[in-house]
Amino acid sequence: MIWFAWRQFRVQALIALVLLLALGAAFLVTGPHLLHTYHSSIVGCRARRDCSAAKGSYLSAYPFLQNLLTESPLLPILIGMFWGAPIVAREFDTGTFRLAWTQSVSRSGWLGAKVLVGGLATLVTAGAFTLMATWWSSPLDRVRDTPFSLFNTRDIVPVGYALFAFALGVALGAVVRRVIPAMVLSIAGFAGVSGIFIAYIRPHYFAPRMANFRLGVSGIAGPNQADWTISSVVKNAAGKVFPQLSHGVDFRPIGKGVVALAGVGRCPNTIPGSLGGSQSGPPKAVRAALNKCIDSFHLHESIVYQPVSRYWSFQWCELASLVVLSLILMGFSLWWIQRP
Amino acid sequence: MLSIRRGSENNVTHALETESLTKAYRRRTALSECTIGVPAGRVVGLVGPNGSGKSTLLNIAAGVLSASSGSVRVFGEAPASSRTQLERVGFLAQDTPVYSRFSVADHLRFAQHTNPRWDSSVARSRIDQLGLDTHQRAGQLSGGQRAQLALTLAIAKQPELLLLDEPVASLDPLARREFLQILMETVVEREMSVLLSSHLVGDVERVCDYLIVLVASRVQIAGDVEELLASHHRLIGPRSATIPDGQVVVDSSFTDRVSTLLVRSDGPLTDARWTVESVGLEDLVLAYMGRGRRSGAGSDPEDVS
Repeated sequence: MIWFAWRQFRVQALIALVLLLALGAAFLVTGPHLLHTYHSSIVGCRARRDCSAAKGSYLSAYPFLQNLLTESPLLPILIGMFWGAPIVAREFDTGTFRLAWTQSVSRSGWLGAKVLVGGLATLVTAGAFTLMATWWSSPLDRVRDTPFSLFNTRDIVPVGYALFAFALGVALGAVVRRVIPAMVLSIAGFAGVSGIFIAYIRPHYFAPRMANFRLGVSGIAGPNQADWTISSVVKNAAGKVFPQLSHGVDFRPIGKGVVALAGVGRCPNTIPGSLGGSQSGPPKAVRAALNKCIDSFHLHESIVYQPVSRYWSFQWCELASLVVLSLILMGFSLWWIQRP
Repeated sequence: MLSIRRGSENNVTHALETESLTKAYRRRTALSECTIGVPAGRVVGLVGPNGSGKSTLLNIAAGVLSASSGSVRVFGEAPASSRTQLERVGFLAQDTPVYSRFSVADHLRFAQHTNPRWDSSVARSRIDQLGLDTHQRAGQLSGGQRAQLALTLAIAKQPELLLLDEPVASLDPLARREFLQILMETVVEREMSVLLSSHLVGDVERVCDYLIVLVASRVQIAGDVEELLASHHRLIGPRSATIPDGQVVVDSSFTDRVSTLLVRSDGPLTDARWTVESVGLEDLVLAYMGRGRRSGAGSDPEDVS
C-alpha cells in the first residue's frame, strides 16, 4: 500500500521539489546581499542612534520574496489544497474508489498509507521551507521590533500549520467527496482556524505578565518593544478605565488658559494657542506644569504582555497543539471513511 | 414442472441475499425495499431498465455504497466487513474506473500488493493474450482495453463472487463480444459465482444461465434460463377463447379476432383452440419488464452514476 500511495503521490512530490529548489536558489542568490546590507546600513545607523529611515528602506528590500514569507500562509494553503483535499476526493471524482475499496485491504489501511506518505512529505517540505525562510529573513527580522509579529511564518510553527492544513484537506475531501469544493473549504477552514489560534488560543499558552507604567505628557512609556503586548488600557488610581487614552495623551484647548485631557480632567494651559499644533512641543516649564497636573490624576497604563523570552516556548506550544489537532483530524478521516 | 418464482428458492445456497434493501438519497430513492436472492455457483444476469436499481444493488453488494435500510448478505456476511470478505468478492464498477496516470503494470502491481489470493500467472497471461502494452498508461487505453484490464484485475484476484455492473455498456459490439467471451471462459474454469447487470438481454443471454428481471427495485421473475424458456410460451388463439387453466398471463395483445398471450405454464395445455409457440428470452424479459412497469412500483429510482 505504501508503494501505491507513493506511486499516486510522486508527481505532486516532484512539483514540490522543483518549487522548493527554485525558492532555495532565489534565497541563495539574494541572501548574502541581504546580510551584507544589514552590516553596511543597519549596524552603522545603530551606532549613530538614527535608524528609522535606514530600517524602513532595509525592510522594503526584495518585496516579492518577503511577501512570500510574511503576508500569507502560502505554503500550508497550497499543501492543504493540492495534497490534502484530493487524497480522498479525487478518488470520488474519478470513481476509482470503487476499484480501490474492492481490493482486499481495509479502507483505513488504504487511507492510512496515503495519509502517511502525504503527511511525511508535508513534514519534510514544510521543514525545508521554514529552514530556508528563517535563514534568509534572519537579518531582516533582527531589524523588526518583535519576533511575535511573524510568529506564523518563522521557525518551527510553519511545520505545524502545514501538517494541520494537510490533515484538514484530507478530512474535508473525505466528507465532501468533491475536489474543488474540498479545496475551497480547506482554504476557508484553514483561515478560520489559524485566526482562532492567533486571537483566542495563543495568548493563553502561559499566563501573561502585567505591568504598569506611569503616564507622562511625553506620551506612553511602554514596555520592551520586543515583547508581545496583548492589551493595554489607561486607568486612574481608582481603577477607572479611559479608553480614549489608550493611543496616547491628547490635550485639547477648551478655553483661554485651560486644556482638557480627554475624558479625564482639565489642566491649566500657560502658553497661548494650541498645544497640539506645536512642532517642538511645549517649553520645559510648561511641560513640567502639565506633568504635575497629569500626576494629580494618578494615571497609569496597564499592560498585559508576553515577554519575548517566551518566544520559543510559544513556538513549541503552538507546534504541539497543531500536531495534536492534525492527528485528531487524521483519526477522524480514517474513522469516517470506514463507516459502513 | 418446477416453479421458480420468487420466494420459492428454498434449498439454494445464496451468494448474495437482500431483504427490503433500500437506498434513499435526499431527493430520490435509488433502491426501494428490494428483496433478492442470487444463487451461488451460477452466472446470473440481472436485467432491468435504466433506473431499476441494478447499479445501486451491485454497489451495495460490493461494499462501496451503504444502504439506508434493509439487510444485505454476501456469503452470509455484510459486504466489505473484513479483509477476508473483501477477498471473496470481485467488483467491476460501471465505466470500469482505473487510475488514468497508472500504467497497466502499475495496476497489476497494485492489485498484487493488495490481494493475498492474487494469481500473477493468470494476470500476465491475460494481459499477453489481450496484447496490452504493460508500460502504457491506463488513461490512454481504449474503452474495451480498459474494461479488459479491470476484468483482469477482478479475475486474478480469484474472488468467489464476481459482480459486474454494466461491464459492456460502453463497448462497441466487437469489444463487447470479446469481453463476454473471456468472461465466460474464466467463469467455466474457475467456478466462481457471477452477477452481471445489463439493460440489454442479448448480452446476458450469451453468458448467463440464470436470470433475474428487476423493475423499480422489484424482482419480476428469477430463474434458470433454460427452465424459464421451457415454462413460458406464446399462445395464439381466437379472441373468443378463454384463457386456459394452468396458464398465467404475463403479457397479452389483442386484435379484433386474435389474442396473443405470453404465458407461464404451470401445467400442460389441453385447449386445442390455442396454438403454442416458443418464446425467445428477449420477448420474455420484455414482457416481464412491461408488466413491472404497468404495476408501477410507485417510486422513480435511478441508477447511481
